This record gives sequence, C-alpha cells and structure tokens, in this order.
Amino acid sequence: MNASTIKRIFQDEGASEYSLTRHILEQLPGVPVHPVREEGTDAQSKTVGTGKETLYLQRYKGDFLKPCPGTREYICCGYQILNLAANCPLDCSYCILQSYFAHQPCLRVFVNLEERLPDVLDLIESQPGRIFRVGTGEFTDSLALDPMTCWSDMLLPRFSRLKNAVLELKTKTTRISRVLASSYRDRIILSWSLNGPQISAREEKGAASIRSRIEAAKQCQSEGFILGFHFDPLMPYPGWKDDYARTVELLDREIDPRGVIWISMGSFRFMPALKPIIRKRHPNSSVLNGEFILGLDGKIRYFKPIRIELYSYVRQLLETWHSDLGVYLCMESDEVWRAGMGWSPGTSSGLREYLDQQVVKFF
Amino acid sequence: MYIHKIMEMAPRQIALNKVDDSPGPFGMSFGFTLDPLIRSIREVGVINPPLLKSDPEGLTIVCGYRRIMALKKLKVETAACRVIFEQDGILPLKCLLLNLHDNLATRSLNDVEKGMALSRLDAWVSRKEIVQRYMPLLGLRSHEKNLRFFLEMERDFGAKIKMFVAEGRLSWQAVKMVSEMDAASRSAILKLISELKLNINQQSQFIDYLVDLSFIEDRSIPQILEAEAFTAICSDLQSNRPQQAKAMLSKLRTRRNPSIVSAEKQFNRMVSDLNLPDGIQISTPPFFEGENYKLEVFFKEGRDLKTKLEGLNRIGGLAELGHPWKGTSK
Repeated sequence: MNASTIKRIFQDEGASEYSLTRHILEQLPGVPVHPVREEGTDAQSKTVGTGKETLYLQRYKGDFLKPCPGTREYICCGYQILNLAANCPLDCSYCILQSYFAHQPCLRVFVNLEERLPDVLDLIESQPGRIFRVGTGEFTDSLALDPMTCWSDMLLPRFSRLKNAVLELKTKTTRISRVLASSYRDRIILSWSLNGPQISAREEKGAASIRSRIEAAKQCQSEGFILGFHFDPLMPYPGWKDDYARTVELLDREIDPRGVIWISMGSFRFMPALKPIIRKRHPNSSVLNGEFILGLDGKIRYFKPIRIELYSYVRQLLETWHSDLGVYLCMESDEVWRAGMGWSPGTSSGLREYLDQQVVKFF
Repeated sequence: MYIHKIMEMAPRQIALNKVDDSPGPFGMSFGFTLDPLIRSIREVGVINPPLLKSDPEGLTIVCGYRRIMALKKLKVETAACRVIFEQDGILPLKCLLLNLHDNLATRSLNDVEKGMALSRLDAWVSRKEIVQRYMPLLGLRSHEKNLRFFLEMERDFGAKIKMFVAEGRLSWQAVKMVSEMDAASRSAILKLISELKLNINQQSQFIDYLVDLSFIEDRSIPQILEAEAFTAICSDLQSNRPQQAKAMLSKLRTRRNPSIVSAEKQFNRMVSDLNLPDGIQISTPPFFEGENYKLEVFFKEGRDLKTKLEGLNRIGGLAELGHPWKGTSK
C-alpha cells in the first residue's frame, strides 16, 4: 500500500479543519477529493476491492477507545482498541474486516483523532490502578498507513509518558520509518502478525514476506523497541508443521527473545457471513479447506483437536526457542488452553493478570 | 386518467398470429399452467379482453399474456382485444404499471415474476424509487442489495433454475449459492436436489459440502457427483427418497469433515461398549466444542430411576469416557 494506490478521496464536511486531513491531502497530491454531505453515502464503494482505492476522511463520533469485543464463552485478554481507522489497505483472504465492513469497504481514517485523544489519555490516567493494553491493529493495520497518516508521530510521545498503559502497534508490513524516527520507546510495543511463509505468500496479499517482517522487527529491536508477535490465524495445511518451524527458525536467528513481551496464538475463526465473501473475492484461497465447526460464540472455528494440535505444536516450537515468551491464546476455552498449552489462566481476568504482569516486567 | 381512456376503447378482433409470443417489455408471467384458463375459456370465453400495444414492430401484450397464450393453445385465430396506438400517448411506463397493478390485484407473483417486474421497472424508474415504492408493493424487503439480486436472477438465471425458484422448490439461500456457479455445476446440483427432494436445510448443506469439496479436491462438482459412491446412493432401490437424501448428505459430510465424523463414530462406539441400561443416553456437546457431555435418564417413577442409577454406577469404564481423540495423535 502506498499513496499511489489511493484513487479517490471522500471527505466529511468539516474534516478539513483537522490537521490530519491537511497532512494526508498533502501526501496525496492530484487525487480527486469529493465532499461528503450526508455521512457514509457517497463514500461507499461497491466492492471491497475498489474500497481499498478509496480513502474516506471521516470524523469519528464514537468512542476512540473500546474494549476488544470478546465473548463470555472463550477466554479473552482484555485488550483495548484505539480506533484510528476502519478497514485495511492489505488484502488478506481470511480477513474478518471483509465482512465487518462489507457495507463500508473504503479505507476510513478518523481525522479527529488528535482532538479526541486527550479524552482517551484522561480516561487511562483516571484509573491508575489498572493497566491498559492498547492496540490500534484490530480494525486496520497499525503501520500500513503510517507513512501517509503519521499516526506514530502523534501517538508515541503521548503513550510513552503514561504510567499505566502500553501501546501496541501491530502490523504485517515493514513501514517502520516513522516509528524509528521517533525518539520514544517507553511503553511502546511493536508487533508483527506472523504465519507460515506459505500462508503469507498465498493468503496475505499486500503484506510483507515473513522474512521481511522479522527483519523489520529485528531492526526495531536493535533500536530499542520491545517486540510482540502474533501467530494468528494459525491454519493446518499440507506442510504446515515445517512451514511454522521455518518461521520460528527465522525468529530464532534474528530476534533476541528476551526483548519479546508476548506471543499470541489464535486459530482461524470467522463469522459465517465471511465464507461466501472469501469464496467470491479470493477464489484461489485455501483457508476454508479445514474442518470447521460452529463455535460457542457463533463463529466458525476449527474442530477442537485440530486447534489443540496447532497450538501444542507451535508452542513447543516457541519453547525450544526460549522458555519465557509470554505465549498466550486468543479467544480459546480453558479446556483448549490446558490441552494445547499445558496450563490455563482459567478465566479472562486470569489472562488479563498474566499479560499485565508481562507489562510490569518489561516497563 | 389514462385507464379511463383505455376502458373507453372498443375491443377489436385481432389476428392472434400477429401478437408477439414473448412476455415483452410489460409481461411478468412465468412458471404458470394454462389448464384452468383454457377450461374457463372453453366454457365461457374470454371475459376481459386483453390489452395490446401497437408498435411499428407489431403487437405487444400489455395485459392478458396468459389469456393470449391460452387462446393460442386452443388454436383460436382471432380474439377481441383493446389496442393502444402511439397516438394515444400512453407511455411504456404507464403500460407496465397497468399490467403490474392488474396482476397484483388478481394474484400473487412468484419470485421469478417479481424479478421480471423489477427488471422492467428498472428501465424506467430510479433504483431509489424501485426500492422505496415498488419492492414493498411486491412484498419484498426494501433493500438495494435485494433489488440487485432479483435483477441478476432475471438477467442471469436459466429457465431451469427459474422454474425451481418459481415453484418454491429451492430455498433463497440455495438460490444465492447456485447463482454464482458455472452452468454444469448448477445443473448437476439442481438435478439432485430435485431427484432427492431435499428440504430447505438439506439444500444449503448439500451445496455447501459440494462447493467445499470441489475446492479441497480440485475437482468440479459434476465430477464429484459422478463418482460411484454418490451415483450408487441415487440408484439404491432399497431406500426411499428421504433415506437416499440422508445417505447422500452423510456421505458428503464424511468426505468433507473426516476427523469430526470419525470422532463422533468413535465416541458412539465408546458409549455403545458401556452397555448402558435401557432408558439412559449419553450425548456429546455439539461438535464436541463445549466441555460438558449430557446424560439423559428416562424413568417411570423413583424406584425405576434408582434402579437405573444403580445400574449406571455398576458400569465399569464409565470413568474413562471422554474425548475420543485423547491419547491419539490428534
């Protein structure tokens, strides 16, 4: 994703008063800008594909900081999502955003972030006894748009000074120039989503290769950043064991495990509505080939023993790399935790405590 | 009002071979039988004269498509019809609305006919107006996506699938699923849905399994269905249609989800080996996803319950009952 892939810009009435709007428009000279009077109407491109060529500079009216929408049925980590944007310039075949934003497939950047950020920081500071693990990578890639939006310039200094929060920027790209240019390191975690190289090559269109991601992580680590990794979505496919082993070998070769705060694992799961979208948009994808069941949360996920085997195998790989990597599972049951990890936090609050302790240990 | 003008027109005898047979720009009839109308015409003749429009190309039917078709089938050569001429100044949209309201007042349109109506309106009316005004009139959800689906159905579906839709033999979910397929796959699926008389739930499951298997095995749907394992089910004369349908779905499920089916079978074997007393059943959580198994005890009264529970307590191996994949490589 670069500025040249944006073919048109829609802009909310009043968006021009924000410096983020002006800054983005400066990065995109010559791209036609269309004003939007009735919010959300003109900016809706008809398909996700063309949506990714459309940038919508929008004033976001909702809460910028929201808890990750976990479910009661599975153990959730208690993450907080900072909403910078909706939708992603990358085009991973398995991405849930394809169905989340099926009716608003354009890239939406919330230009009033700077105006609303003080509220977010005040909220965090008003609860000094609680640790906020905040991420921006839930509804978009944290760094894919950073060269254009310069989010990191705005966020790193502000989160770095907080005593009870960490900001995790999660990406599949190598767009690290702006974070590296920043002088702030404290309470910032740079994370990469990882997978088997085959999955990356076949299913993660627009994302950097696994090797490039790990090389970017290495560079960031050498520049003093704490790292995180996320093996999500794990998938079984012919040769998956060797493939994931290759990724862990690369980590072993390039990354100092003592600077890794956590590594999450999650297996492929999706709302039923995503299936026809994947079939239509990614006809050569093999992500739907596994044996799936309807999970307790209404999402489709792999049959339990398959998930256990995935977690168990990758955990063992990681343990051979380093014994204390803060490995955890995303949205899994106590039973799967025990079978796949050999232990369980028992509940969502147990997992929150475990990850909060990692924060305390590293910062 | 143009309707008064039309009603004032005197019907004239029209040679029916001059009337275009196709539904034309105003027609919205599909999947109907002419038999009752033919019987009626035989008995009493045509009560309401059809309405035609005279164009340079010939005579097009505005209202009364079925009547004209019935008359033609009866080999009637001429019939009394009202005819609109260009100089009457009645625009095509007016003709279309006349036929739409004439139909809506007298019968329910099937889904293919609704698609025809919407498609014809689409030539003259804005999408916004169609969604807001005409879709509710047809009893459809007012949604642009829904409109697009009906327009695509009218434009892209072949006569065979349209007939399935018109007769209500295909669920909407199934229609959507087959609408995106190649003609050969669609035809193979519809043939089996028809032959096995799959119900609405079975249709979606059937198509879903086949699409998945086609991707996983890199074989076309007709190739999969031509395999002996499947053709044998349909030609098994010992089984009735519902049994064949069940066998077909079971075969597909096993092929699509071998681990799940194997786990279920293994668990059932484990339970069977326990020799549970009569009236006691143990079942798995759906897909083994939940943690709790279920024990059901059917009993007549307390004494019976006590006996059964005591019998249950005496069963060796009960404590070993658990996930069938434990201790295996899975």
